[in-house]
Amino acid sequence: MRVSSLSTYLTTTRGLGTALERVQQEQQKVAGGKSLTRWSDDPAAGSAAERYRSEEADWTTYQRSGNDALAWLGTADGTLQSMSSIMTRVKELAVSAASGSLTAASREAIASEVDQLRDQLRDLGNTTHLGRSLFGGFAQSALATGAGGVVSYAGDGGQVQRQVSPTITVAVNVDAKDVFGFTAGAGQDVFSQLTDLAAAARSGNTAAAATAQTTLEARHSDILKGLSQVGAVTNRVEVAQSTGSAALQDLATRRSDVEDVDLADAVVKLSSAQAGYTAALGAASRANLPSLADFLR
Amino acid sequence: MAFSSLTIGASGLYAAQRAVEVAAHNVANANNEAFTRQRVTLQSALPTPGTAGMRGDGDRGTGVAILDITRLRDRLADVSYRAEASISGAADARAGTLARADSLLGTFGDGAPESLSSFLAAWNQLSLTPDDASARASVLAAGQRLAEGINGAAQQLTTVGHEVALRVTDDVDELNGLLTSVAKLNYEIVKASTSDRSPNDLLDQRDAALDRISQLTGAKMDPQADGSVNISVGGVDLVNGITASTVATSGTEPVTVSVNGSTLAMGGEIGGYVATVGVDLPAYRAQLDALAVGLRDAVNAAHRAGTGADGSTGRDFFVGTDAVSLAVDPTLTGDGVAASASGATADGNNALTIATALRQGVAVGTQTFGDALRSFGGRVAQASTDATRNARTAQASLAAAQTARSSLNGVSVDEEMVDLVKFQHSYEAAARVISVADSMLDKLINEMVR
Repeated sequence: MRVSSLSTYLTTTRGLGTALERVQQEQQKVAGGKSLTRWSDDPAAGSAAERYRSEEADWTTYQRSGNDALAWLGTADGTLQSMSSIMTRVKELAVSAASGSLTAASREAIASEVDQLRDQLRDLGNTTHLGRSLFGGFAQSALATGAGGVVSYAGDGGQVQRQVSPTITVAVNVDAKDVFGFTAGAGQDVFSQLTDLAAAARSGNTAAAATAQTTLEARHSDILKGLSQVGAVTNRVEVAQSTGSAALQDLATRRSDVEDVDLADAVVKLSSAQAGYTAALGAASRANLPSLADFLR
Repeated sequence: MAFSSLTIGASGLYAAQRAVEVAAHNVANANNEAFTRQRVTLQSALPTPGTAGMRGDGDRGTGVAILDITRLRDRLADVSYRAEASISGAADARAGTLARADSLLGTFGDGAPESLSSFLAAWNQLSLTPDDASARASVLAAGQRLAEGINGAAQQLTTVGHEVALRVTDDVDELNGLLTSVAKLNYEIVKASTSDRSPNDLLDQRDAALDRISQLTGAKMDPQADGSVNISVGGVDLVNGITASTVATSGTEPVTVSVNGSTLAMGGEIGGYVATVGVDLPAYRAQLDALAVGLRDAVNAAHRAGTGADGSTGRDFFVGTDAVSLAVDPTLTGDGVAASASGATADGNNALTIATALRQGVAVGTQTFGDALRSFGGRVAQASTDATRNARTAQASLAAAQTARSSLNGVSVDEEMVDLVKFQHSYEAAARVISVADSMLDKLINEMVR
């Protein structure tokens, strides 16, 4: 092939340009630590990175909801435990009240303790978590105290839902209606029963005390049912939480795989590009050989 | 004539001088890309009429004559260079335009897809604390940011379209200048050829103009017998002999180029711009509009079913009909955000429903909004990457064609040096002939008379 001055010049400059461009590209990767700085650097990897990022954001959201759910459930669990111990004590008192061999003073003592426990139970029923009623659904409070100390259901049965994974949404609250037996029929709820028990103890009506004892047994099992419900939901949330943290770790690793630069690899590539550029410079200095003009006198 | 050796020597001197001149011209233009190396074509001069029957006094030589000074240009190299120039012009134009549209969805890693994640997270947060005014405000803010991300993309498309239209206007201005100069050069070249001159440098000028016209338009070039070149696109003449047409462009989207009202389907850089702005950008715009409508409908359907903290129901969250006008309803306040499913203010379940509907519901075509948004981003990036790759390939082909052509047409300093030495020697020899003739005359005139 014929070689003209111009074609030598064109080939040389083009070679230098290409080599320097490669150095710059590799340098950018090493300096930025990212192999993807724009989506078009690698569209497939870019789409994958965006998908991982979105999943990470979702899982982070679910984790936050999960933590919130666990706080609700923890408070509910503690409160229900206290209620359960109150019920245990109340049942003991009911057994005593039904035995019929008590002095008026002891019966009065039992009655006033029952009253106390009833108030305690009511206060526990109105427990709030972060300003929200724990057992009242979306209502301000779960229980209302009416004329003559009559405790009635004030909740709205709303389910406080928390999404804890892409597929799992749980209700984190149990309702006062179920816990305190407001669904069992008029006068069957725990507060009416306790009022009845106190009255029976005061009046020495052992039969009424025995009836109350049976009903309170059922109400205790309602509270225990609430406890086990809370426990089951807690379990589900905890499983979702650990799935979530595993997923987050996995997603971060995978995103780093597509997005971050393998530093060792990048540095090797950079020095190879630099060597290429040096070689191109050397080639350029040799390509512009002296022409015949240098040898003519 | 006994002493014709004097004139023969003079013709040799003259030829050698002219050849050295041409070599000097070549060396001077060694790095001029538009230049084609030139050669002196020598021929023995017309012999004397001989005397019939006398072979010894036959047609005697009268020295050397310069027949022509020719350009050593390879037409085929021009054809392949110009074909590559047209392809590369179109590919560069497309790659440049799509690279501008490449960041439609904002910075990678902090763009519209991330705004969507924040928007979803804001709904989830609101479902935890529906009675928190700041959670309501952040849902509105995140929604606005997402809508603005889509507005921004549509805005950017308009900007790119506008820039491309301006670019085409500049290119068409340049093209019109080139067409006029080709017509003028055609005139000069035809004039020079008919008066038997060698318009080498004019031809070089015209070839340079034709190269650039090819890159801009991919037009067809027909060399004519009289030395002029006609240029046409799709049968419409741009240059016919010494007449140049004026190309006009619309200057705004949709970008068109035309001659006397008839639209031209050009190749090259102008054609690349026109095709990209006429096909790719409208397609992107339609996809963005579909995304905007999909987002609006998915969120609104779920939002309408809920109740705000102010008791309002059936309200829209997003308003707007396309990617440009999409916005959070400006009359919607924080309390109007329908987080509640039951109507109770402490109820955040509808916020959860909205987030789930947006995450999992089919919003655009057969995809969820998030998938559609990401695949749109991926498609845009892919198109840009492909276009850049094509442009690279075309540039490499063009570079190869250019190198091949310049190695055929270009000046080799070594060759010229050889010519210089060669003609220097022939100059010396011709001078020697004259000095011999001179001494012969001297002998005859000065010594024989005495």
